[in-house]
Amino acid sequence: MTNVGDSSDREIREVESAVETEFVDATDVVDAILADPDLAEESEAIRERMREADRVHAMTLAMVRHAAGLTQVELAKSLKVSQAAVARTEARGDMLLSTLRAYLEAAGARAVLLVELADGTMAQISLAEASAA
Amino acid sequence: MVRITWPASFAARVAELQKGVAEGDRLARKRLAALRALLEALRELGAQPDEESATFKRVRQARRHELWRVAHPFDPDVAVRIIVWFPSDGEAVVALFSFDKARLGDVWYDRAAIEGQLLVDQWIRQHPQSEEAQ
Repeated sequence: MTNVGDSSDREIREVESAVETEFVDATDVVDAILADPDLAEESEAIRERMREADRVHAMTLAMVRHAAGLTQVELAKSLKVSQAAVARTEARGDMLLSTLRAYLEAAGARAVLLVELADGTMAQISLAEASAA
Repeated sequence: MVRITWPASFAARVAELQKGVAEGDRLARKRLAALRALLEALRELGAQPDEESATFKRVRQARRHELWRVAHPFDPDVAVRIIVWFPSDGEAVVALFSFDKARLGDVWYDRAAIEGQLLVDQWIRQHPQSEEAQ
């Protein structure tokens, strides 16, 4: 169990540890790691998954709405909220799954699935189920 | 491409992983491959990212300094994270690494924000000529 005393002691140790830390230029070390061919193939596979995750991240809600041929005003009417509320939702980085579900359904999406790929195994869960959980 | 600075002790941690890889440790190999991918993504930047992505996200718990976490997609075996700060264009300061999959979560990010900012304070003390120190 952690008590206040433990927490304070840990913070003091962290401050002391940070104050003693010496920073060094690691660019050459990093470049040597990157130049090592041994892990290049495995590392590139991870990089490709990172690029794919970034592409999905950049797929904004506004792009979904545009694809559906809707304006913010039209979508707001379906959601029974103001146009400003739709604009705020589109600008938000994080949101409740229920908000995402409502937005996507108002844009015409049906039976939206969340998909995770791990070790070649695909796991699916419906957004409706996830947002109700 | 940014130049990368990190605490001197990190070289030993990397060497430990490399030793594990040489000895056939499968987990060390996966961790080092993931670390390599994150460092490559970081090295390819010219400056602090303009916006967040799946790979680069701000650490929201950090208020005094703008810390970023670098991450790779889900892997059932490993979760490597880097906490980094950008003092200026062309420079990245790696404050923390984490290889511990079990401990990643909000509590870890709370601690990472505290520890990372203390380390940034230390970097600034060691670089009194930097813009941040002015």
